[in-house]
Amino acid sequence: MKIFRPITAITVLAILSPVAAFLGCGPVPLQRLGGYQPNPCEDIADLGTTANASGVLPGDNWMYQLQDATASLIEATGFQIAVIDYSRDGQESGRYSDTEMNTMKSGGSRTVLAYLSIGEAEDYRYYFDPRWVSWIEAQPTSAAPCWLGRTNPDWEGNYKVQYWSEDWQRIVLDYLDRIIEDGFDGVYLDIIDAFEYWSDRDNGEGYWIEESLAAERMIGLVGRIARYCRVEKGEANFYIIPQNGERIFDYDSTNTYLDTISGIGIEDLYYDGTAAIPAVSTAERNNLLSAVKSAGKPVLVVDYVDRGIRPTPEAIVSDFLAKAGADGHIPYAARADRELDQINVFAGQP
Amino acid sequence: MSVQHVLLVAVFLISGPLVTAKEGHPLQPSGPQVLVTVTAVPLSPSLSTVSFDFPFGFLSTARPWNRIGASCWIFSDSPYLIPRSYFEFGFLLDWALVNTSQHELTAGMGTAFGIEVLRQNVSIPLILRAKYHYAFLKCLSFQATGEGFLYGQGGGLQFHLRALSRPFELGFIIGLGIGYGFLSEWDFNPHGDALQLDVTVGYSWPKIRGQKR
Repeated sequence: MKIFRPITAITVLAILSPVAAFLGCGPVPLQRLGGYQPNPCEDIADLGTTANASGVLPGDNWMYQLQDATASLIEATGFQIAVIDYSRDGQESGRYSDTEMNTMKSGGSRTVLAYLSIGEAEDYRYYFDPRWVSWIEAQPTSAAPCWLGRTNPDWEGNYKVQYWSEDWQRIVLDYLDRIIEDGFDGVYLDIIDAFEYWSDRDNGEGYWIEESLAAERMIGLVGRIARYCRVEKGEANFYIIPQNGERIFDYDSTNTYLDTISGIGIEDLYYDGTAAIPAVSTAERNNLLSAVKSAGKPVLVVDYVDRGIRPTPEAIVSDFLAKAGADGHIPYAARADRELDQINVFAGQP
Repeated sequence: MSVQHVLLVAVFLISGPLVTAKEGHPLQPSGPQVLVTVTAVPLSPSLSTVSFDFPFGFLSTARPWNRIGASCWIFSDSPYLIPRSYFEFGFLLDWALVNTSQHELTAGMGTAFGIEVLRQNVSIPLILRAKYHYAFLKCLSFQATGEGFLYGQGGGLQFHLRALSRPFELGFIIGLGIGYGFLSEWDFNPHGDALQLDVTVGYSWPKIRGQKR
């Protein structure tokens, strides 16, 4: 007892602990907090090269339906571009037959694009293993792959992904195989703005990267998709339309991204639901989109402004169509519930 | 039941006895104790800890021994103490600043050896801990703990409120707690925080030779 004096012990501990803590012994183990913790993917995909768009997306109008699209109903409309899901119900069993695809294409007079989320994983898709997420909290479990991030609180069942993961990108390419096999003319890529999410320090993941790096990686993924479809799969005229995330042009100094895409889709440019967006915000986005228009590529705009008042839609619907037209965009007034489960046709929209 | 409802119930369970207690009760004498804690974040069991507390007063009632205690623990990021990606062994010495029949306030300092299994990172933090223990019923006490962690590349804070009970005047202990933790590296990448609920069971050797408070 004389040797092990308490004061001595405390003094020794007081000296050793800070020395240990400051001598490089210490990344912070976030696992100490428990629950879902980010596991930064280390299988980072090569940025590689892209394959430039060879043609401009044809059409003066478009429609956007992601649930229960029916070939015969689409055929009956005058829309020249149709963006639909590769499956009527999101499942593999709901994929469209050759006959249905031909019906939708109406002998080549309509371009049919398949929706594909490249920045979020959807739990109802064929690739998603239910064991990846907790049924209690709907957050990733320890069984989840490194690329699976937090759930999107606005869209139940959708999870952010570290899209630079080789593992995730292979899933995207596998998905593209199905889209190409089914005869779609191109893809409509959603969640491009994931580069903003992963560069947000407050994204809730406890992990972020510099926005320039996140943007570079997203441009790399879109380029890889283009190369895969246009070169490796031999679909030279495959259309690639990203949705939103137009701030990525700030990081596209060499026009790699601009040369890759065949146009761009934009949501909520003039109205957020039925509430008008400040003109300044719209002008800022239009300024970024001017590069697309200057390249002669179309800007497809969808605002969810139509509350379904008939026979004459509300004034904001015609106001949206007029503003988008005046800015040289191709508008589609969708139903305000954002379900995208029907073709929204009225006088003024084929 | 939402997370908010669960937290409300937890806070009620912890704070209820404090509100209803008309007068304080002496802290039960406590000898060495072993506690097993499973922590949910906030609902899925995610962490487990086995801790061993040893008051030196168990050996001698003379000062300063009766004011010093040691704690060691094994911690893992799974509910079964089988490391998923992190495992930690820690050690800490406490000094009782206040030690009355009803209140006990200790300050402690220690360190831990943590291994991040997947990336084989080793983390050795400086740990500072303040713990307040208050008895409000004969067999129910309230414990508030604040801990600071200082790593080579960052740090964080963790707070816990815990109700501990020895219901049958035996050594058996049960407890329910709620906590909040925040950890961050200096460049804020990565960082994280978490709300935690925990359940504790354990055993304490209650009789302390000649204990005097």
